[in-house]
Amino acid sequence: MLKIYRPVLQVGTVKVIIGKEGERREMEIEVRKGEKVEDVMKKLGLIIDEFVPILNGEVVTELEELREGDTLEFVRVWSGG
Amino acid sequence: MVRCFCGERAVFNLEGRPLCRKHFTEWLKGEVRKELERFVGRDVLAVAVSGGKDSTTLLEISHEWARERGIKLFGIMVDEGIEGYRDRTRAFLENFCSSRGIELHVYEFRKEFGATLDELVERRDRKGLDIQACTICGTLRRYLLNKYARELGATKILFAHNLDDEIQTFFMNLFTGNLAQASRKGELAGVIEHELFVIRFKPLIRIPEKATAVYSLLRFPELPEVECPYLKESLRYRMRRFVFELENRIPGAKRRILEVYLEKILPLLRENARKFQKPLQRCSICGEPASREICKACELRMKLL
Repeated sequence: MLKIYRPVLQVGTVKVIIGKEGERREMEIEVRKGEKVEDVMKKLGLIIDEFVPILNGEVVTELEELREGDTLEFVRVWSGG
Repeated sequence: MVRCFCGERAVFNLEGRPLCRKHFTEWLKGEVRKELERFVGRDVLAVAVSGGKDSTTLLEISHEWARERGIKLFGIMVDEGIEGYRDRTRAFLENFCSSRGIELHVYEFRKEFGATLDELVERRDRKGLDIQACTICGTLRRYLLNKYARELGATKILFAHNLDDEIQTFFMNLFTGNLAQASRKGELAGVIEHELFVIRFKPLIRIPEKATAVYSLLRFPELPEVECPYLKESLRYRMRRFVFELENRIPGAKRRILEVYLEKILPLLRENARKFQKPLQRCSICGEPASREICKACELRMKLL
Protein backbone atom coordinates (compact mmCIF):
# COMPACT_ATOMS: atom_id res chain seq x y z
CA MET A 1 0.00 0.00 0.00
CA LEU A 2 1.27 3.46 -0.87
CA LYS A 3 1.90 5.61 2.15
CA ILE A 4 1.96 9.37 1.81
CA TYR A 5 4.19 11.09 4.34
CA ARG A 6 3.44 14.71 5.00
CA PRO A 7 5.85 16.89 6.94
CA VAL A 8 4.45 17.76 10.35
CA LEU A 9 4.58 21.49 10.90
CA GLN A 10 5.42 22.08 14.52
CA VAL A 11 3.35 24.73 16.11
CA GLY A 12 4.36 26.66 19.21
CA THR A 13 3.13 29.65 21.13
CA VAL A 14 4.93 32.95 21.57
CA LYS A 15 3.92 35.66 24.02
CA VAL A 16 3.77 39.03 22.26
CA ILE A 17 3.78 42.42 23.96
CA ILE A 18 3.29 45.60 21.92
CA GLY A 19 3.92 49.14 23.15
CA LYS A 20 4.52 50.58 26.58
CA GLU A 21 2.67 52.22 29.43
CA GLY A 22 -0.84 53.36 28.45
CA GLU A 23 -0.91 51.64 25.05
CA ARG A 24 0.44 48.22 26.09
CA ARG A 25 -1.18 45.15 24.47
CA GLU A 26 -0.42 41.52 25.30
CA MET A 27 -1.37 38.40 23.34
CA GLU A 28 -0.33 34.85 22.52
CA ILE A 29 0.42 33.96 18.93
CA GLU A 30 0.93 30.57 17.31
CA VAL A 31 4.06 30.22 15.23
CA ARG A 32 5.24 27.44 12.96
CA LYS A 33 8.74 26.05 12.88
CA GLY A 34 11.10 28.41 11.11
CA GLU A 35 8.87 31.45 11.45
CA LYS A 36 10.67 34.70 12.13
CA VAL A 37 9.96 37.95 13.95
CA GLU A 38 9.13 39.58 10.60
CA ASP A 39 6.44 36.93 9.98
CA VAL A 40 4.75 37.83 13.28
CA MET A 41 5.05 41.52 12.35
CA LYS A 42 3.31 40.84 9.04
CA LYS A 43 0.51 38.93 10.80
CA LEU A 44 -0.01 41.83 13.21
CA GLY A 45 0.33 44.52 10.53
CA LEU A 46 3.42 46.08 12.16
CA ILE A 47 5.87 47.99 9.97
CA ILE A 48 9.52 46.93 10.39
CA ASP A 49 10.85 50.52 10.61
CA GLU A 50 8.30 51.46 13.26
CA PHE A 51 9.11 48.81 15.88
CA VAL A 52 12.21 47.48 17.63
CA PRO A 53 11.80 43.76 18.46
CA ILE A 54 13.04 42.59 21.86
CA LEU A 55 13.23 38.81 22.17
CA ASN A 56 13.44 37.44 25.72
CA GLY A 57 14.81 40.79 26.89
CA GLU A 58 17.40 41.29 24.12
CA VAL A 59 17.23 43.66 21.16
CA VAL A 60 17.17 41.54 17.97
CA THR A 61 16.53 42.02 14.25
CA GLU A 62 13.33 41.11 12.45
CA LEU A 63 15.19 38.15 10.89
CA GLU A 64 15.42 36.25 14.20
CA GLU A 65 13.70 32.83 14.30
CA LEU A 66 11.14 32.17 17.03
CA ARG A 67 10.80 29.22 19.40
CA GLU A 68 8.09 27.83 21.62
CA GLY A 69 7.81 29.82 24.83
CA ASP A 70 9.61 32.94 23.57
CA THR A 71 8.53 36.37 24.80
CA LEU A 72 8.61 38.91 21.99
CA GLU A 73 8.19 42.56 22.83
CA PHE A 74 7.79 45.33 20.25
CA VAL A 75 8.91 48.79 21.31
CA ARG A 76 7.41 51.41 19.04
CA VAL A 77 10.01 53.82 17.64
CA TRP A 78 8.84 56.74 19.72
CA SER A 79 8.87 60.17 18.24
CA GLY A 80 10.73 63.10 19.73
CA GLY A 81 14.37 63.68 19.31
CA MET B 1 20.19 33.11 15.81
CA VAL B 2 20.95 35.87 13.32
CA ARG B 3 24.62 36.73 13.56
CA CYS B 4 26.78 39.72 12.74
CA PHE B 5 29.81 39.04 10.50
CA CYS B 6 31.83 38.68 13.73
CA GLY B 7 29.62 35.85 15.02
CA GLU B 8 27.76 37.78 17.75
CA ARG B 9 23.96 38.10 17.84
CA ALA B 10 22.69 40.88 15.56
CA VAL B 11 20.76 43.82 17.03
CA PHE B 12 20.22 45.85 13.86
CA ASN B 13 19.64 45.00 10.22
CA LEU B 14 21.47 47.63 8.19
CA GLU B 15 19.90 47.19 4.75
CA GLY B 16 20.53 43.46 4.73
CA ARG B 17 23.72 43.58 6.83
CA PRO B 18 23.00 42.27 10.35
CA LEU B 19 25.20 44.01 12.95
CA CYS B 20 25.87 43.10 16.60
CA ARG B 21 25.80 45.66 19.41
CA LYS B 22 29.51 46.49 19.02
CA HIS B 23 29.52 46.82 15.24
CA PHE B 24 26.18 48.65 15.14
CA THR B 25 27.52 51.20 17.67
CA GLU B 26 30.74 51.58 15.67
CA TRP B 27 28.79 52.05 12.43
CA LEU B 28 26.49 54.73 13.89
CA LYS B 29 29.31 56.61 15.60
CA GLY B 30 31.39 56.40 12.41
CA GLU B 31 28.60 57.86 10.26
CA VAL B 32 28.07 60.80 12.64
CA ARG B 33 31.81 61.42 12.99
CA LYS B 34 32.16 61.51 9.18
CA GLU B 35 29.56 64.29 9.01
CA LEU B 36 31.28 66.19 11.84
CA GLU B 37 34.63 65.88 10.03
CA ARG B 38 33.05 67.21 6.81
CA PHE B 39 31.34 70.25 8.23
CA VAL B 40 33.03 71.33 11.47
CA GLY B 41 36.09 73.54 11.31
CA ARG B 42 37.20 76.14 13.82
CA ASP B 43 33.83 76.21 15.47
CA VAL B 44 32.21 76.46 18.85
CA LEU B 45 29.36 73.95 18.86
CA ALA B 46 25.98 74.19 20.53
CA VAL B 47 23.98 70.95 20.46
CA ALA B 48 20.22 71.49 20.56
CA VAL B 49 19.07 68.83 23.03
CA SER B 50 15.76 67.69 24.41
CA GLY B 51 16.47 64.50 26.35
CA GLY B 52 14.97 62.46 23.50
CA LYS B 53 16.64 59.56 21.69
CA ASP B 54 18.03 61.50 18.69
CA SER B 55 19.56 64.48 20.46
CA THR B 56 20.98 62.34 23.29
CA THR B 57 22.65 60.10 20.69
CA LEU B 58 24.02 63.17 18.90
CA LEU B 59 25.18 64.79 22.14
CA GLU B 60 27.05 61.68 23.30
CA ILE B 61 28.84 61.14 19.98
CA SER B 62 29.62 64.78 19.18
CA HIS B 63 30.80 65.50 22.74
CA GLU B 64 33.28 62.60 22.55
CA TRP B 65 34.44 63.74 19.09
CA ALA B 66 34.82 67.40 20.12
CA ARG B 67 36.67 66.52 23.34
CA GLU B 68 39.27 64.52 21.38
CA ARG B 69 39.92 67.61 19.22
CA GLY B 70 39.77 70.28 21.90
CA ILE B 71 36.67 71.83 20.31
CA LYS B 72 34.31 73.64 22.67
CA LEU B 73 30.84 72.09 22.77
CA PHE B 74 27.84 72.55 25.03
CA GLY B 75 24.21 71.46 25.15
CA ILE B 76 21.35 73.92 24.88
CA MET B 77 17.83 72.96 25.85
CA VAL B 78 14.51 74.73 25.61
CA ASP B 79 11.95 73.69 28.20
CA GLU B 80 8.61 74.61 26.62
CA GLY B 81 6.63 73.53 29.66
CA ILE B 82 4.75 70.44 28.46
CA GLU B 83 3.49 68.63 31.52
CA GLY B 84 4.22 64.91 31.76
CA TYR B 85 6.62 65.10 28.80
CA ARG B 86 9.31 67.77 28.93
CA ASP B 87 9.69 67.55 32.72
CA ARG B 88 10.65 63.87 32.35
CA THR B 89 13.09 64.32 29.47
CA ARG B 90 14.62 67.39 31.17
CA ALA B 91 15.30 65.47 34.39
CA PHE B 92 16.95 62.69 32.36
CA LEU B 93 19.05 65.15 30.33
CA GLU B 94 20.27 67.13 33.34
CA ASN B 95 21.39 63.91 34.97
CA PHE B 96 22.98 62.67 31.70
CA CYS B 97 24.99 65.89 31.26
CA SER B 98 26.12 66.20 34.87
CA SER B 99 27.28 62.56 34.99
CA ARG B 100 29.36 63.08 31.81
CA GLY B 101 30.62 66.57 32.56
CA ILE B 102 28.78 68.16 29.62
CA GLU B 103 27.96 71.87 29.93
CA LEU B 104 24.19 72.38 29.61
CA HIS B 105 22.15 75.59 29.32
CA VAL B 106 18.39 75.46 29.80
CA TYR B 107 15.91 78.19 28.76
CA GLU B 108 12.24 78.11 29.67
CA PHE B 109 9.22 79.43 27.75
CA ARG B 110 7.73 80.50 31.09
CA LYS B 111 10.68 82.77 31.90
CA GLU B 112 11.28 83.97 28.33
CA PHE B 113 7.70 84.51 27.16
CA GLY B 114 5.73 84.51 30.41
CA ALA B 115 3.78 81.35 29.55
CA THR B 116 4.39 77.63 29.03
CA LEU B 117 3.44 75.91 25.76
CA ASP B 118 0.49 74.29 27.58
CA GLU B 119 -0.74 77.78 28.51
CA LEU B 120 -0.11 79.17 25.01
CA VAL B 121 -2.16 76.33 23.49
CA GLU B 122 -4.98 77.09 25.96
CA ARG B 123 -4.90 80.75 24.87
CA ARG B 124 -4.92 79.69 21.23
CA ASP B 125 -8.06 77.64 21.84
CA ARG B 126 -9.75 80.44 23.82
CA LYS B 127 -9.06 82.90 21.00
CA GLY B 128 -10.10 80.36 18.36
CA LEU B 129 -6.82 80.74 16.43
CA ASP B 130 -5.93 78.23 13.75
CA ILE B 131 -2.25 77.67 14.63
CA GLN B 132 -0.79 74.21 15.25
CA ALA B 133 0.90 73.65 18.62
CA CYS B 134 4.01 72.51 16.69
CA THR B 135 4.14 75.85 14.84
CA ILE B 136 4.02 77.81 18.12
CA CYS B 137 6.57 75.52 19.74
CA GLY B 138 8.93 75.26 16.75
CA THR B 139 8.99 79.00 16.05
CA LEU B 140 9.62 80.01 19.66
CA ARG B 141 12.12 77.20 20.25
CA ARG B 142 14.22 78.06 17.16
CA TYR B 143 14.12 81.70 18.20
CA LEU B 144 15.55 80.95 21.65
CA LEU B 145 18.09 78.44 20.33
CA ASN B 146 19.49 80.92 17.80
CA LYS B 147 19.54 83.82 20.24
CA TYR B 148 21.21 82.02 23.13
CA ALA B 149 23.57 79.87 21.04
CA ARG B 150 24.87 83.12 19.53
CA GLU B 151 25.13 84.86 22.90
CA LEU B 152 27.04 81.85 24.26
CA GLY B 153 29.51 82.17 21.39
CA ALA B 154 28.44 79.20 19.22
CA THR B 155 29.22 79.31 15.50
CA LYS B 156 27.11 76.25 14.64
CA ILE B 157 24.02 74.71 16.23
CA LEU B 158 23.82 70.95 15.85
CA PHE B 159 20.28 69.64 15.35
CA ALA B 160 19.47 65.95 15.72
CA HIS B 161 17.20 65.69 12.68
CA ASN B 162 17.48 62.13 11.37
CA LEU B 163 16.91 60.61 7.92
CA ASP B 164 13.20 60.06 8.57
CA ASP B 165 12.74 63.66 9.78
CA GLU B 166 14.41 65.01 6.65
CA ILE B 167 12.27 62.90 4.31
CA GLN B 168 9.09 63.87 6.21
CA THR B 169 10.08 67.55 5.89
CA PHE B 170 10.77 67.09 2.18
CA PHE B 171 7.28 65.67 1.61
CA MET B 172 5.67 68.29 3.87
CA ASN B 173 7.27 71.13 1.91
CA LEU B 174 6.29 69.47 -1.35
CA PHE B 175 2.78 69.06 -0.02
CA THR B 176 2.40 72.66 1.13
CA GLY B 177 4.35 74.05 -1.85
CA ASN B 178 6.78 75.84 0.42
CA LEU B 179 9.80 75.81 -1.88
CA ALA B 180 11.56 78.65 -0.05
CA GLN B 181 11.52 76.55 3.11
CA ALA B 182 12.64 73.44 1.18
CA SER B 183 15.62 75.40 -0.17
CA ARG B 184 16.91 75.95 3.36
CA LYS B 185 17.22 72.23 4.23
CA GLY B 186 20.11 69.80 3.80
CA GLU B 187 23.11 69.10 6.06
CA LEU B 188 23.64 72.81 6.64
CA ALA B 189 20.23 74.33 7.06
CA GLY B 190 19.00 77.88 6.87
CA VAL B 191 22.27 79.07 5.39
CA ILE B 192 21.80 82.81 5.26
CA GLU B 193 24.94 84.73 6.03
CA HIS B 194 24.09 87.12 8.79
CA GLU B 195 25.93 88.10 11.94
CA LEU B 196 22.88 87.33 14.09
CA PHE B 197 22.12 84.01 12.51
CA VAL B 198 23.86 80.83 13.70
CA ILE B 199 24.19 78.14 11.01
CA ARG B 200 22.30 74.91 11.71
CA PHE B 201 24.00 71.61 11.04
CA LYS B 202 22.38 68.17 11.02
CA PRO B 203 24.93 65.38 11.53
CA LEU B 204 22.23 62.62 11.82
CA ILE B 205 20.76 63.34 8.40
CA ARG B 206 21.78 59.90 7.06
CA ILE B 207 20.78 57.93 10.18
CA PRO B 208 17.36 56.22 10.11
CA GLU B 209 15.14 56.94 13.11
CA LYS B 210 14.99 53.27 14.09
CA ALA B 211 18.79 53.29 14.51
CA THR B 212 18.70 56.06 17.15
CA ALA B 213 15.90 54.18 18.94
CA VAL B 214 18.03 50.98 19.03
CA TYR B 215 21.12 52.99 20.08
CA SER B 216 19.14 54.58 22.93
CA LEU B 217 17.67 51.27 24.09
CA LEU B 218 21.16 49.75 24.17
CA ARG B 219 23.07 52.67 25.70
CA PHE B 220 20.64 54.84 27.66
CA PRO B 221 18.23 52.50 29.46
CA GLU B 222 17.01 55.36 31.70
CA LEU B 223 15.96 57.54 28.73
CA PRO B 224 12.18 58.10 28.97
CA GLU B 225 10.37 56.75 25.89
CA VAL B 226 7.74 59.47 26.01
CA GLU B 227 6.08 61.37 23.18
CA CYS B 228 4.86 64.93 22.98
CA PRO B 229 1.09 65.08 23.65
CA TYR B 230 0.67 67.61 20.80
CA LEU B 231 2.30 65.32 18.24
CA LYS B 232 -0.98 63.96 16.87
CA GLU B 233 -2.16 67.49 15.91
CA SER B 234 0.60 67.76 13.33
CA LEU B 235 0.93 67.03 9.64
CA ARG B 236 4.34 65.56 10.48
CA TYR B 237 2.69 62.79 12.48
CA ARG B 238 0.76 61.64 9.42
CA MET B 239 3.80 62.05 7.17
CA ARG B 240 5.84 59.95 9.59
CA ARG B 241 3.54 56.99 9.11
CA PHE B 242 3.53 57.53 5.34
CA VAL B 243 7.36 57.46 5.27
CA PHE B 244 7.44 54.23 7.35
CA GLU B 245 5.02 52.62 4.90
CA LEU B 246 6.94 53.89 1.88
CA GLU B 247 10.17 52.32 3.15
CA ASN B 248 8.31 49.09 3.89
CA ARG B 249 7.07 48.88 0.30
CA ILE B 250 10.27 50.12 -1.35
CA PRO B 251 13.28 49.27 0.87
CA GLY B 252 16.01 51.90 0.50
CA ALA B 253 13.51 54.59 -0.63
CA LYS B 254 14.43 57.06 2.14
CA ARG B 255 18.15 56.91 1.42
CA ARG B 256 17.55 57.24 -2.32
CA ILE B 257 15.21 60.23 -1.91
CA LEU B 258 17.73 61.95 0.38
CA GLU B 259 20.53 61.49 -2.16
CA VAL B 260 18.41 62.85 -5.02
CA TYR B 261 17.25 65.72 -2.82
CA LEU B 262 20.72 66.74 -1.64
CA GLU B 263 22.51 66.30 -4.95
CA LYS B 264 19.93 67.25 -7.58
CA ILE B 265 16.94 69.11 -6.13
CA LEU B 266 18.48 71.25 -3.38
CA PRO B 267 21.03 73.06 -5.63
CA LEU B 268 18.19 74.06 -7.99
CA LEU B 269 15.98 75.21 -5.13
CA ARG B 270 18.84 77.25 -3.63
CA GLU B 271 19.65 78.88 -6.95
CA ASN B 272 16.01 79.79 -7.42
CA ALA B 273 15.67 81.05 -3.81
CA ARG B 274 18.69 83.37 -4.24
CA LYS B 275 16.82 85.30 -6.93
CA PHE B 276 13.94 86.11 -4.59
CA GLN B 277 15.80 86.25 -1.29
CA LYS B 278 15.43 89.45 0.65
CA PRO B 279 18.25 90.40 2.99
CA LEU B 280 17.66 89.64 6.65
CA GLN B 281 16.88 92.60 8.85
CA ARG B 282 16.49 93.15 12.57
CA CYS B 283 13.04 92.68 14.05
CA SER B 284 11.70 96.11 15.02
CA ILE B 285 10.45 94.72 18.33
CA CYS B 286 13.15 92.38 19.66
CA GLY B 287 16.13 93.07 17.39
CA GLU B 288 16.57 89.43 16.40
CA PRO B 289 16.97 88.47 12.70
CA ALA B 290 13.78 88.66 10.66
CA SER B 291 12.77 88.30 7.03
CA ARG B 292 10.07 90.97 7.53
CA GLU B 293 9.75 93.99 9.79
CA ILE B 294 8.63 91.85 12.70
CA CYS B 295 10.08 88.38 13.31
CA LYS B 296 7.85 85.31 13.43
CA ALA B 297 8.34 84.83 17.16
CA CYS B 298 7.15 88.39 17.95
CA GLU B 299 4.25 87.98 15.52
CA LEU B 300 3.17 84.85 17.40
CA ARG B 301 3.60 86.52 20.77
CA MET B 302 1.37 89.40 19.68
CA LYS B 303 -1.33 86.97 18.58
CA LEU B 304 -1.20 84.79 21.68
CA LEU B 305 -0.18 86.96 24.61
